[in-house]
Amino acid sequence: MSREPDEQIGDYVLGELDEQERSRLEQRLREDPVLRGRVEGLEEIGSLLESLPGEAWEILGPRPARAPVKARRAAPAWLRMRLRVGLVAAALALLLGAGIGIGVLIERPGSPSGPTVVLRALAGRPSSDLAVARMASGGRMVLSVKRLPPTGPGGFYELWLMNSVHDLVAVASFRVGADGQAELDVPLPVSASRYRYLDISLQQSSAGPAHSGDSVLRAPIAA
Amino acid sequence: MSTLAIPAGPRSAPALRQADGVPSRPSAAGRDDRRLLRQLARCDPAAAGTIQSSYGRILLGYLRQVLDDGGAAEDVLQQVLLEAWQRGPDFDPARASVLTWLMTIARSRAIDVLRRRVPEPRDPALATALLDREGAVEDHAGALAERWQMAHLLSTLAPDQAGLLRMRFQLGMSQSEIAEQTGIPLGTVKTRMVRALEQLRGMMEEGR
Repeated sequence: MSREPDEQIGDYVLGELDEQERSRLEQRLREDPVLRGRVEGLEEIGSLLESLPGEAWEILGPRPARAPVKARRAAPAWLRMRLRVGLVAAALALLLGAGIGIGVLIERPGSPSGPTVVLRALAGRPSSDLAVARMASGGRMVLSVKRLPPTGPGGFYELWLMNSVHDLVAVASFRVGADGQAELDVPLPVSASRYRYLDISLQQSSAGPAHSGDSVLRAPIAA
Repeated sequence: MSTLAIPAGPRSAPALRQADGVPSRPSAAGRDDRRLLRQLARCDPAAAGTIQSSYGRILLGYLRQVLDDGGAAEDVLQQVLLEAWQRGPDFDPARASVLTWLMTIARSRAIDVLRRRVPEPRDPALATALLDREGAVEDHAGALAERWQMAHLLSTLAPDQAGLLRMRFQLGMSQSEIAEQTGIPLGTVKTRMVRALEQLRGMMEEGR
């Protein structure tokens, strides 16, 4: 590796690594469980920091002013496109072929500005599973998932707004490839504020549109 | 606000070190914790004041957010201080950090309050839905507790480290923008950023 490993790991966690370096690092992560554990730990901290409420930051003092800079701001880690265009096309074809109503998988999601919700693994699921959702302007939600098991034939994940198993609405369907990641920017069919949870379930296309009961990630939606 | 029934101890919150925007250093936090542990072990009423001084702002911030009611949050904070003082001699610092222990108490008391807000089901068919909601209450309180715990850990980092993280995660600046704004070389920004994240991770692990 030509660059300082720490710098590269930081760039990766913060979503500032270029595609070529990212691919190389991800290859190394697959081969090195110690490094993978370190990166996952940093990503967990990054997700927590992303979700800190403004009041919590004020513990450090008043919000500092941000000087105007010339450089274009890099997108946050979880917003950056991690799927190649070919994979996106393949995913879309698969989803459409299966007749699934889907959210829009896009190369560059819109600018999320609202509250962030970190979805975590439910009991019995791998604790490393993770998804981060952020409300965006125009009644949209940007969702980034990491380390979810790849969907098999006929399987897909469904994002739900949910109050209970009897009171819920499907938001979007998506599939996950071998890298365990996906990025979605989806319009919300209803206001998220009417619901208490965000939930991601594993579904089978042969089993109909109802919630399968097999939830993999969930988080309460903060008031 | 309800009255905290601890005799003779300091009751009002002293000025918090963090309130002036100068985060405390790990060594100072460690000294405060050691003093607090001694006070807790001997059931010293001053423990409540030390907790208030070191953790009051974090606990109150958390309780305000999770309860969405400033008055209720003040009341619950008093309960937390009282309970911590009462249970202090049993606290085992080998099992959890003071922060984790206090946040656990705060979370439990907050959940008590939130549960009391849920009406008893008259229709048996509603029981399932209410059970779902109880789970949501606990998840919500737990997730927020984790975030506020992180906020406290942030406040114990060196100011330059915490400042970098703030610029990145609160203001959404890239590392290049941070380097440009602060005049710190980009490579140094990157190295410090990783070290700060690693340090937070280490502290989080220690507290679990």
